[in-house]
Amino acid sequence: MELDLDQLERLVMTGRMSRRQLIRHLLEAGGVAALIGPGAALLAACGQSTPNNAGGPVPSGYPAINNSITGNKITLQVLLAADYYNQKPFVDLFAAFMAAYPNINIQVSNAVWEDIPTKVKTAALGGVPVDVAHQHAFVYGHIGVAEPVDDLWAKWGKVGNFLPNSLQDVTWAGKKYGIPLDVNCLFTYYNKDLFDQVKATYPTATTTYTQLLAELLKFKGQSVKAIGLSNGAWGNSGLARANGGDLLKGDETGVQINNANVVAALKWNSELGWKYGVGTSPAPTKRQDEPGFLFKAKQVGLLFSGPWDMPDIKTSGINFGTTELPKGLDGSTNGSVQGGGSLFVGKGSKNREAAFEFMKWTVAKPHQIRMAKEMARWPVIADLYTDPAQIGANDPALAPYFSQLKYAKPYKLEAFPEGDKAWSDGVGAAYNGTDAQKALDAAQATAAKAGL
Amino acid sequence: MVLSPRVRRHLGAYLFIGPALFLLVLFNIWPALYTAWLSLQDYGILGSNGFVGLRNYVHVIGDSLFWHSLLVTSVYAAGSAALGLAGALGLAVLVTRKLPFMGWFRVLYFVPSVTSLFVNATIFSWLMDYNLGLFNYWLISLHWQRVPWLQQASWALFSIILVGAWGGVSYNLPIYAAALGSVNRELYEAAALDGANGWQRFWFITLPAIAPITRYTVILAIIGSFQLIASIDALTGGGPEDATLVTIKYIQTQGWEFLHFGYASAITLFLLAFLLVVTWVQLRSGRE
Repeated sequence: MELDLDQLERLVMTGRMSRRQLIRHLLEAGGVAALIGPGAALLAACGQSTPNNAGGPVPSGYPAINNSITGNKITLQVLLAADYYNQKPFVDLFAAFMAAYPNINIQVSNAVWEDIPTKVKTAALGGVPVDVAHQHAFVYGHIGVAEPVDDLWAKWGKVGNFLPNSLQDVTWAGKKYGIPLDVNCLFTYYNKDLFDQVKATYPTATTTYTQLLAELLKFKGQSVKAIGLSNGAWGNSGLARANGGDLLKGDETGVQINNANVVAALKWNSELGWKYGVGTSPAPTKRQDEPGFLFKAKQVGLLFSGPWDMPDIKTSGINFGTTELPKGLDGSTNGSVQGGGSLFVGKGSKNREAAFEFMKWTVAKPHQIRMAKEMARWPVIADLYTDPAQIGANDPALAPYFSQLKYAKPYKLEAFPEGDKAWSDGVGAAYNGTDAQKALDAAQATAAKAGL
Repeated sequence: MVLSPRVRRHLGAYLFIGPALFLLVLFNIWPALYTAWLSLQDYGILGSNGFVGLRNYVHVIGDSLFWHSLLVTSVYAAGSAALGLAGALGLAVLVTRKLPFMGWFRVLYFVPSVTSLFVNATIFSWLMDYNLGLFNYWLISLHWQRVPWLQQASWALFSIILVGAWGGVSYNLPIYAAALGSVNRELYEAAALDGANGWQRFWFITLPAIAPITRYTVILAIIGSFQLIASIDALTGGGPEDATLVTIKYIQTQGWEFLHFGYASAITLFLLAFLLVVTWVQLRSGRE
């Protein structure tokens, strides 16, 4: 008999194998050596499972059984991003949740991130809302297709466990519409060898846009470019934030796309390409990962990106450094855009409480740790950052990311589709050679025409 | 229940057309009627906010972006139809000749038509990529400048037309090959005896003989052009700076991004009326 530890772990964690059955299996497969070797951890985990009368076993570190959802048969429709739903931590989570709640059957569907909005809206329009959907909950709260869940948060009482910024992803106009799932933000990568080659000084946590420009211009005339540019709406909102620019007015009721700080940041970034000739041509809408490819191919010296690029950058063998985004034009500002995502309950879902319960499981510490270690998706639970080693984050290259994260805010303009498109069009025009002020004045006029 | 003799006489016919009629009503007629109803409403994601009469239609008339999208679509339709049909006819002439490897070519030319439009467009998004694309690699190899195929407004629509024409060639080639095969050979023999050269035979015999087929392919190409969205989604998203904003993409943006379903429905019906007029003009000119 072969010893398949993954399979055994799944069975143990979902409560489908008792301690006695596990011992028998380990002995048959590997003898006593298996008991004291690889099987020891499994035996310990098996012992931690909490049997209960209402539901099935709950693995250690996950929420206790909620007796109010253990009665009726429930089918929970869960829509996750395509790069999450089939990852092992999630596959195991579905199994563990269904083992704990044998009356609940989870039906998982998936879509690429950009297509989730259409799926959620189609389901809402068709009167068959998704029970749990994955995106930015605040957007759906604003347009009215997510259920407010403040009452369930109050009952749970764990709001203090979350990174404060992560809660912004689920909050609109003071109401909570979901549970944050993971976070990330934009920060700076640079290729040390390419910087050395042109005798440019590495950027640091105090470098300003103005100082960085002087260094990037040293790449002029080289076969490689200084920076991989992106004209994406989300990323450029982060670069504007680094200069103190906010696309929404303070109360989030109106847009200010052409505010002076936003214009200055966009001008700086967009002119690196068409004016100074040291930036790559920005990729079209569907190819926003291209600057990352170019950095990994050692074709660009600097990249503004998130932690998701780090595993590939490491394996590409680049001698790289990381730091925060530039501190605005004059060093007086600090900011970035927060990414990641959250889960929310579709408006009109008949399984609101079960959906919320499932969402609670996704932020249980063991699952958040697995997401960090196995998927490079960073936790929303504040505690997990006190010991970076436990989430596999003790790499010094990640330190600038974590310090930048404290100053990152979500791209809330996304809640206003017309404003989002106006900003996106304005950014695109600026990168194509239109003066940033002119491009953003036009964008502001378009947004105003739409009543924003 | 007793059926009248008349009903009994036609019952079989009704049973035969029933399933097709049911599907036609379900997927064509009912959605069209529903769209018409929606166009008279202020309809958002949470349902109707009330009847607004013809307000959406009045809005469409004054919407410069709608007219811009119609212009972009028309330019695309003319460009891709002209290039696609001319290319298809040219290649059809080749494949009907006895040249080496034509058997293989006949298999290959239809591949783009049986491949998903989105997949085709995604392949082109790589080929036309400014920094990493094969097209620009070739240009650089020839010591030419890179071309911003999809990034610059001045190039993007042309690039989309090229992709559309490529698909059009593939789709129309077998139609033209069949049409060429049906032209009476005796006409060519008579023309050859009269001293007509190859070009004259093509111009004065082939083209008039296949004119009905050409009319049919032109109408299909134009109607198909007005349904264009997959290439736009994969390649440009309607940008840069609305240079490739075709009408269907604009309808999608108004409906699914901005959640103005009533307004999107009004634009749809405007587009339907426009297409009916275009088709009528084409058919009428064909008769003359």
